[in-house]
Amino acid sequence: MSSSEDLQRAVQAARAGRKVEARDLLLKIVEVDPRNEMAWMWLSGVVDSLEDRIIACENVLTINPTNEKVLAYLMKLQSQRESKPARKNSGEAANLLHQAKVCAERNDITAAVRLAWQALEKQDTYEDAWLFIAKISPDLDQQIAALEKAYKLNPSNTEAASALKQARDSKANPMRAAQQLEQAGEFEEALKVYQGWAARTKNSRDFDQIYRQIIRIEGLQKEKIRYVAPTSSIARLTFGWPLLYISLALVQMGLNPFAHPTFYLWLGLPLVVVGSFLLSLAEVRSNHILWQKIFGEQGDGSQFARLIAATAGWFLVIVPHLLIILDSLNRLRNFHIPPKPF
Amino acid sequence: MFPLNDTEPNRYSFFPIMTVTIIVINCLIFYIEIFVVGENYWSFFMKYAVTPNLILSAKGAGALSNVSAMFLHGGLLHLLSNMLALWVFGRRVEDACGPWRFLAFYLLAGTWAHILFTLVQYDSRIPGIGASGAIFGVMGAYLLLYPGGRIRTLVLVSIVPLWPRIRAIWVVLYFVGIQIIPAIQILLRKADYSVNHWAHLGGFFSAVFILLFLRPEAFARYLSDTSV
Repeated sequence: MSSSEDLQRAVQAARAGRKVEARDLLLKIVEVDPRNEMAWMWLSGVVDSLEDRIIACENVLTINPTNEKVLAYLMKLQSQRESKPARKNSGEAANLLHQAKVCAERNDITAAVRLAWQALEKQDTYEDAWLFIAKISPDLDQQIAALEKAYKLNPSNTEAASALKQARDSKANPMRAAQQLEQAGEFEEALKVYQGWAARTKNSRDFDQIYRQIIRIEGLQKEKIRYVAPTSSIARLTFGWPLLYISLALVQMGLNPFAHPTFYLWLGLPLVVVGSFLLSLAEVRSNHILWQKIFGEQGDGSQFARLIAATAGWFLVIVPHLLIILDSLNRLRNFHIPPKPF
Repeated sequence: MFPLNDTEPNRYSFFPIMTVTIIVINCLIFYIEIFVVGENYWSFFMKYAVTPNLILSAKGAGALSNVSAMFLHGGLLHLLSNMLALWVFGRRVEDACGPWRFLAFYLLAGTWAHILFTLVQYDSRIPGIGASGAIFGVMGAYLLLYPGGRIRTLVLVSIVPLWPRIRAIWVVLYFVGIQIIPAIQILLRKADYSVNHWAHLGGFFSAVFILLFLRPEAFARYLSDTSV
């Protein structure tokens, strides 16, 4: 895609309020073409921090010193910077955050949260303090608010961005979010999601369901059940059906594929392998690339996607087995019953 | 010694649908054997039972007979003893696998039972029938998954019946143990037994494949050395 097309898309995104998308596109343009005045100009409107806006405006003026609009905007930004209070308290805030971390290590979460808030009272632009609150707070809404603040302070923090996405997903679909965390072996995080959901729900049936999940995960933790990655489960389960197929095909060939070769039976094997893989994939909920590639879905795919995968899987597993049975029936038609040996 | 019931509860599922389905199918086929096939049993068995010399010469129903033989029985006692053993040991193995993977494992164990029987008694013209090979596979799987499980077992001490809860390991090893001497005699002296001992051993050893069929959580529990 050319840079003019990229610029067009970036402008459209900025106008539609999709600041992150616009910013990413514009950064790409100025990386390739650092003298693109329009790109710098639009960038000055979509970056979050004051410093970044000033830099973008200065770059516009380096390219085109006669741009009066940007010059006026730059002066306005510079006066804003001068009027902002100096960060006198940053040392004190860092000290408070350190104390909060020590409390968190001692499992004194209430004190840790209180100290982190005190640090933020001293300096509300303290990104680490916001991230710390997001990490330890048991309240999902508070986590989201803290992450939004941290992300706003530093839009290049990809960890904060992904944590924010995860927290928002958890709020929209807590069951799915908890299941995904459990699959990733993060039992503690999964428990947090369930507990947060339990605190919010007003439906007694939902509460019973959540309570059962909490008991189950706590049981797993108590029994120290080893974590098995979903990919390993999918690989293991994929072997079962093909093994049965190979065994039946061998019997069909008189246990000697060289003396009684029936090559087309081997053609069924790749189908059974693929089918068995799809069946395993549909059952072991996991964040597999296939959901993204085929169905364009994130995470462990929708119920519909899993249904399609399972149906295709059964079809691919059953058809080769039926072909073996048809081959047997065909042989049976020409079979003469031998006499009794006794 | 006769296993009567598994005294431990299921963990994952409420009802062993596939175990019950297999039992029902076996009973229905036995009904067909008695009331439909009747006197024509020889041609029926030659078509649908496992006869080693037919399998090795790639004649007859091949893979189909290998599967169908698992659902044929030679008498009511044969059927009842096999189905009781399947009910006792199959429920919790199905619970650990899920119904469809349990079916796949059951068929695999039966297939490997017949393969070993065919390889050892390669020149036999006597058809082999019965679910016992597959059921020995299920018993082996039970032993791997629940060695500490307890089985309510009928034991006759002289003429006094007792039904203690015995550890699964002793019940299963007893049934495997009584196969070994006849199996050796078949191998070395070509002794003639009406019981398919090598199929039982084949099925039992195929139990190692159960690990390919376990639910993810059951497998994680198996790896963690805790109750599956």
